[in-house]
Amino acid sequence: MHWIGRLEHIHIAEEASVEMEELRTGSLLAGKGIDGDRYLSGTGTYSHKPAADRQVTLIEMETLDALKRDHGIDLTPELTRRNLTVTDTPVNHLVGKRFKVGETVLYGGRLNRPCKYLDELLEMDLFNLLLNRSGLNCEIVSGGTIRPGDKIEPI
Amino acid sequence: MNLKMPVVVEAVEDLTPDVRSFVLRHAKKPDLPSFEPGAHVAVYLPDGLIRHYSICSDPANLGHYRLAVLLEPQSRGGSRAMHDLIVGQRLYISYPRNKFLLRDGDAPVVLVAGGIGVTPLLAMAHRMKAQGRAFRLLFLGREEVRLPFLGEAAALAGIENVTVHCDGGDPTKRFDIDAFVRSLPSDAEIYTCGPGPLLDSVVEAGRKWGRAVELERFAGVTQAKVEKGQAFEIVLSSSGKVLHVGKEETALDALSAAGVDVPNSCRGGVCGECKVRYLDGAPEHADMVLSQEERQTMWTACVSRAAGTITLDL
Repeated sequence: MHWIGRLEHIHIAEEASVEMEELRTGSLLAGKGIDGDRYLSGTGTYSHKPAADRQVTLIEMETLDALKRDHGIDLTPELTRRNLTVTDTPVNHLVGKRFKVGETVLYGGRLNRPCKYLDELLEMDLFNLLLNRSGLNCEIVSGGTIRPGDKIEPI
Repeated sequence: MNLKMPVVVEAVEDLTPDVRSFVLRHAKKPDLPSFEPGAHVAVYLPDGLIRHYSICSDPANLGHYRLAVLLEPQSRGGSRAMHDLIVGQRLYISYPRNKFLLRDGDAPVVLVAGGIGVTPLLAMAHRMKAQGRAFRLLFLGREEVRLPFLGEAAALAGIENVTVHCDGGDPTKRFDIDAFVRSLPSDAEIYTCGPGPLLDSVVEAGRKWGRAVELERFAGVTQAKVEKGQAFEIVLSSSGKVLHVGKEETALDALSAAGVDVPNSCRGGVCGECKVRYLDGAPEHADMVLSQEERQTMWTACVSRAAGTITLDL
């Protein structure tokens, strides 16, 4: 499969339930997480069940566009609670694969599943709408600095 | 929106012997979210308490929110914890929420404040001043020295539009709300906040004389509960204990409240992490993960319910 995607936004949240913050540059630490994010500091909603693939999460911008187009729902990248918002990247097909985001290498661990927690946090009904397109949970194989505009490529 | 945002205490000021105000700014951004006058925020206090306070600052200035808190020795600890905040301290607050909206229009507005209840009304006063909309303020309390923001409110309303009445705590000197409401124009809109008995008397007078009343009570800002389904009972097979699952809760909620820890993740019936074995009863499966075969013995606690009673292998 040949494709080239693009990193659009980088977001972190310092703690569970705290609003996300957009970054101009993100520092990915191999085997750990994104500097400043709740899953690196261990203060995330699911931090009590550690999983290597919760180090960084991705979601497709196309999903957010579709929510707007088909359901009139404005789920902005900042509200998704995913770290990297990407375009032209087939995230559902990256389970079990390594791929590059800028100078870093990620491993697609498993599909992200929607959770009611997000619905409660945002007071929106997103659960069913995000089924099968809620993003990808990844492990950081090789760390580095990433920026919006970085290329995303299969390895 | 139940997201929290980090804020820093920028200034603390004593307004009266027992009211202290707090200027909060966003810890990371130049502006806080916009709000409509009458809004409040939840403050997540350092010791785990959560308290709701009205934003009393000008909605046109989003560089900060100002809150004002009456120290109540009889309180459950929230006002004490607020009064202990110091300049530079970082804490979380919720996004603004509003159940006390100022309606746009030309109707004559009358603000009726009881003591610290002036706080949401002050934000309304800022808005109306900016709009050039005239309004009156009735400010009630025990002693004038204990009325917070009196000068600021009077400046916004215009001194000729302000009535202050202090009864010194003497019931015989209480302000005649009934006569006041009766004297207002028939299309007047009354916005009131203060102690319960004051609000009750404003509501009663409004009903009696046909004046519109909007109010905000101090206590009990609760979120509307959503009905999740019919109520049912859970029997825990190990202890025989019976748990009631109400219409507005899930089995997971009831189990958790009873101290029964069931692992869970999505809470929407897709991950299957909360599945438990059932031994008896009429399950009503609502998940999207268990197979027909699994459903003969397993049941998801997050979304599934039961007709009558279900016995779980817990």
